Parts: sequence; C-alpha cells; structure tokens
Amino acid sequence: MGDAHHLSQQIATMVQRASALALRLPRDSDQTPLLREAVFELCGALEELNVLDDELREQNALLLAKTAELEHERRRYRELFVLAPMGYLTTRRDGVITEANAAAAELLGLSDSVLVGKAIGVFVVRTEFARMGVLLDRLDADASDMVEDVLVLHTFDRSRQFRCCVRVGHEGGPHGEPVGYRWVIQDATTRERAAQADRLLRESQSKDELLAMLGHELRNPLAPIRAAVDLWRHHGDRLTPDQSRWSIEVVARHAEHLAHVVDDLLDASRVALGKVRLRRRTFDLREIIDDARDAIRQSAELHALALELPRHPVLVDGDPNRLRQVVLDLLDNAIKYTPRGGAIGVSLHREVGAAVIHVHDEGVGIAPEMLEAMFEPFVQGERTLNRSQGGVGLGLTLVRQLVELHGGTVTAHSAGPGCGSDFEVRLPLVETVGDEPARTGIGGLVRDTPVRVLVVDDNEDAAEMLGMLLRASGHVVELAFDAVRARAVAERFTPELVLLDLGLPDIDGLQLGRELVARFPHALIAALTGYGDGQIRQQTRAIGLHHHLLKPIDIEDLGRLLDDAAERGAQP
Amino acid sequence: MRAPELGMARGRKILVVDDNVDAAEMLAALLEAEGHTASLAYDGASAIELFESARPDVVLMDLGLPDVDGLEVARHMRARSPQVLLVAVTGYGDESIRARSREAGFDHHLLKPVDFDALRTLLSRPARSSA
Repeated sequence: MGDAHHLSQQIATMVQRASALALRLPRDSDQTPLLREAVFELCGALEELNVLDDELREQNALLLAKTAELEHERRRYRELFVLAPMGYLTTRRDGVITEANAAAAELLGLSDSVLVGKAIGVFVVRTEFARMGVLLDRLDADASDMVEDVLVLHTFDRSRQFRCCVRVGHEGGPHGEPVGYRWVIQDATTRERAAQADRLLRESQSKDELLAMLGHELRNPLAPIRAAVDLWRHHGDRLTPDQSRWSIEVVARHAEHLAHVVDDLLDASRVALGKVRLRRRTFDLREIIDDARDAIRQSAELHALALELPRHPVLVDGDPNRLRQVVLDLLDNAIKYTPRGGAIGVSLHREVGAAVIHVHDEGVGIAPEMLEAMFEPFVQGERTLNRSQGGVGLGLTLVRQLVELHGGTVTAHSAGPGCGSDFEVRLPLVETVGDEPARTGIGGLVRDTPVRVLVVDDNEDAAEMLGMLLRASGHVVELAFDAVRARAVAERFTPELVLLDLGLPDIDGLQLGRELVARFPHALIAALTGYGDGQIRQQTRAIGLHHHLLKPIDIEDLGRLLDDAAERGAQP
Repeated sequence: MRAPELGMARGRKILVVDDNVDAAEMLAALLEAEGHTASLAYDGASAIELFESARPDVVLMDLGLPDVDGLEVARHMRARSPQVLLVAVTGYGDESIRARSREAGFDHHLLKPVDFDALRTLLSRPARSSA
C-alpha cells in the first residue's frame, strides 16, 4: 500500500513537471509543435497511469477486506475444530499428528500441544493394529469420503482403555493431492449411551401415548354401559319396556365391543412380544381366500364382491389361520369404509418369488398422510358416527404384524379421499418342482400328484398320442378303443379323469358317458370329439358330462381338466 | 317419582355432545330420568347450532368429535356465554389434556365412564361455581 501511495505521488509530480514544461516551450522553434505533442502525449499517458493506479488501489482494498473475512472464517472454523465435542485430528500420511482439538486431546489423555508430533499408532492397542490397517486399506479401496470402525484405543500413559469410534478420511493439499489423513474419534460407549437414552425416551413417549389411547378405547364403550347401569339402579322401576330393551341392547353391544377390543389388544401384544407361534405348513393361498369370502358373505351382501383367483395353486409356507385372519381383517376394513353397493374385490396372483393378494374397494379412500400412519395402533380413517360399529383401530396393526411374521409386507395405496383404496399383501412364494415355466408345453401337464386318466377313442393313434403325453407328465393312463373295453378298464382302474370320444364303434359314446357318470360320481368326465355344434353340446351336458372339448385338444385345456379332476377327487 | 337423594337442582337444560351415539343417548336417558331436559348432538357443528338455539345451562361434551376439536367448540361456547357450565366427558384423563380443557373454558373434566354421584354433585350446584 505504501508503494502504491508512493507511485501516485510520483505520477502527480510528473504531471506537474510536464505541464510546466509545456508552458515553457519556446514559441517559434521548429521543434515546438513536435515537442508540444510529445508533452501532451506524456500528460495523457500519465493520466491513464493515474486511473490504473486508482483501480489498483481499489482492488487492493477489496482484497484486504476479503482476506480479513477469510481470516475471520478461518478463526471461526478453528474454534469449531478446537471446541467440537468430537475428537478431531489430522496426521501426515505416516500417522504423525499435525493438528488436534481439545476433545481429541482429552480422549487421548494429553494436551493438544503435546499431542502434535506423536504418531497416532501409539494410542492404538497393539492387537488392534491389523484392524487399523484394514480400515486405511478400505479408505483407499472404497474411494469413499470417510470410513468407520470401532477400535480399542488407550490413553498416552496407558492408564485407560476405551472402545472408540474412529472415522478417517483423506486430507488433501491445496491442489487436492493427498497429504495425510483426517480423523474423527469419539468414545463409543458415550455415543452408544446417548443413542440408547434417545431411544428409551422415544419408547417411553410412545408408550405413554399408547397407554392414553388404550385408556380412551377401553373407557369409551364403558360409558354407555355404566350410564345404563345407573339408569336401572336409580330409575329401574320407571323404565318402559322399550327403554329396558333398548338399554340392554346398548349394553350388550358395547360389552361385545369391549371384548373385541380386549381380544385384539391381547392378540397385538402377543404378536409384539413374539408369543404368537405360527403353525406353519405349505398350503394353497386360494383356500383361505375362499374361506374368507364365505365368512364375510353376510356382511358383504350389501356390496358387490368380486373374487379373482388363479387357476393354479399358489403355495406359501405359513399359518393358514393367521393368514385367513389377515384377509378377513382387510375385507372387514373394505366393507366398513365402502358405501352400500360399492365394489370390493379380492385378487390373488403370483409374481416372481411372491404371492400377491390385493383387497381393493371403492370406498372413502385414504389421505396420503394416512397411508403409513394407518398401521399404527388406534389410528383410524374417517370415523364412523358410532364407533362401536367400527373397529378399534387395531385391525391393520395386527394385519401388518402377522404378515411380517410370515416374512411378507403389507402396503396401502389410494389416490386420495373418495377414490377407494387398495391393500397389497406380499408373501414369499414356495416354488415347487415343475412350477410355472414347466406348465407350458408338455411339462405344463405335470402335477404334484399323478392323476388317473382313462382315454377312450377308436382312433388308436390319437389315443396313444394323448396317452403318451399324459404318461410323460407323470400321470397314470389307461387306453380303451371301444366302449366295452372302456367299461371293463374303468371298473378296475377307477379313473379320476375320463376323456371320451363320442363316436365309438360298438356303443353310442353318449350312452357310455351316461353310465360312467353314474358309476364314477367323483370322476371328471369330458367329451373329446370332433363335433362341437350346439345340439351335441346340449346332449353331453344333459347326460351330465362335465366338459365338452374339441379335437385336437389344447394343452392348456388338458391341464385345466387335470386340475379340476384332482380337485374333484380330493372331495369326500 | 322418587326424590333424588341429593338436593339436586331439577329441570336443567343439558346439551350432551358425543360422537358415540349410544353413549350420548344413554347419558341423555339417565339425565331425563333424573328430571332434566337433554338435547343431543353427535358432532361439533350441530353442537354449536343446538347451543345457540336451545341455550342450555350445562354442556356435557366429548373432546374427540368427528368434525371439530371439542376444545374449539368449548372455546366458542365459553365466548358466547360466561354462565354455561361446561363439562368435558372423555376417555383421556392425563394432566396435559386436563390443562388444555381448562384453558379452553371447561369448568370440569370427567373421565369416562362417568361416575354418577360426581355428575349428580355437579348438576346439584345452582350455577357455574366460578362465574
């Protein structure tokens, strides 16, 4: 700055001299015009120099301000560094400490000035050296910002050992080149204790909330019960028969509701405490959905209930009773929040590795902020006018708990209030041999249990082909090329599935069909013929044949027949 | 008709507000049997409407209403009438909710199920004690 000042004074002096020189120029010398021009140019140049000098000074002042600002910031960060509750260290690449803050010094049992210059290794318990090495290797390998591990360190005088959470990152030089390491060290026990205290506080808060809500849920149904009792006790002699009947109904209703609350609560707490033992077995999910439909038939009759089940078994490993409860609770929920006449649907399908159940409704829908909250205890959607008709706000909590016990997930979806809602339950699928991919083509006929099939056709080649196909898929097959033989074979073979050609050489196929239907009521008997017109179909239906298929038979249709036959056979 | 055991002020106009229809109706039946006149509201909006038209002496109100917070309703009623006896009747009884109900203008906070003798004692007082 002194130089700059000096420079501007020099410029001022030179301008003065040049001006004086210009005044003193001889008037009529030949040189005069040239000289005058030179002096003017000099003056101009000096003037420009002056301007530049001003700018320079301005920039200088700015630079100074910036430097002061930076210095201030640096001091602030220095303070943060020094006073931070976590230990901060920087070391060279060889581990010699170059900087340390107060917390680090306290942890390591030395003052920060003495700490500088020591190798960080002297604070690491010998047996931990290898892990320290691994940590630094990971830092290089991961190219991550910082890596972390818990190591046992000791103070400089080795009077105290402690588990320490150590985080380390690269310290870069001014141009980003690695010059050493940055370390953050924190007593692991302190850190864990703080986290635990935090968790305990949160838990106790949510427990308080839960207890308050629980009190509310239990006290509410008690209110009309106690009022009714007081009414009888103090005014029982004056009650009309209608009043008596009504008050008893109210008491009964709320007592039942109360019992329901207590049951749900006990259920929920048993699940939460891990006291629910699942009676697991591998079973077909389609069964429980059918059951659930039957169970709610009465309450659902005011709604349009649609069921969508796949044709093939969807096997899961789980407790059928608990999963039935899940489906029932979701259905109950859908019914509760769907106005009369609204559609409710349950569907089941398989995805890769998962059995997926959807329960959807055209009901009141769910606000986005409620989609997750709903699964918390006692949280309910729009309240029904009389909550004794509604649930207690534990149904979905239980649903989630039970599904999660099965290793599955349950989520809710809704486009918002008024848009209906959809609950999705995903359960791990039990993959079986000869599963989905094998069910197309010839392998598509493989079943867990072989089916006994009788093929009756006077076209021997066609019968043989069909027999081969079925035998290759593991089924037990008998062939008959005429009706007489078919009767005899059937007697000894008791088929579960009969594929019957109607045009037989000896007896009318319809006649044979009628006999077989009567003789083997548990068997599935299908006409397999080249005739498909309405009249013949009517005839086969009239004699009680279960299906009427056209030649050549479609593999998928054949698969369906096998499933149906197995199902019929399974019935008592 | 049997005389009440306590010297109870009879014929008070009482508004019962509760979204649990059965609870509201049963309490109203009990109050009527006790010789009072009871009107019923199942949500905040109709409670306010009835409060304006029926001018009750006493309001027994649940705090968890489907449309408006019961505390809001109480605040409104208290602003309209310094004399009305406002009684919260709720399943929540912890100190924080009691403090909030006091602050909203309730004179009393009864826990469900309501103790009949406590209610009788309350209703036997001629008017709002602090008014």
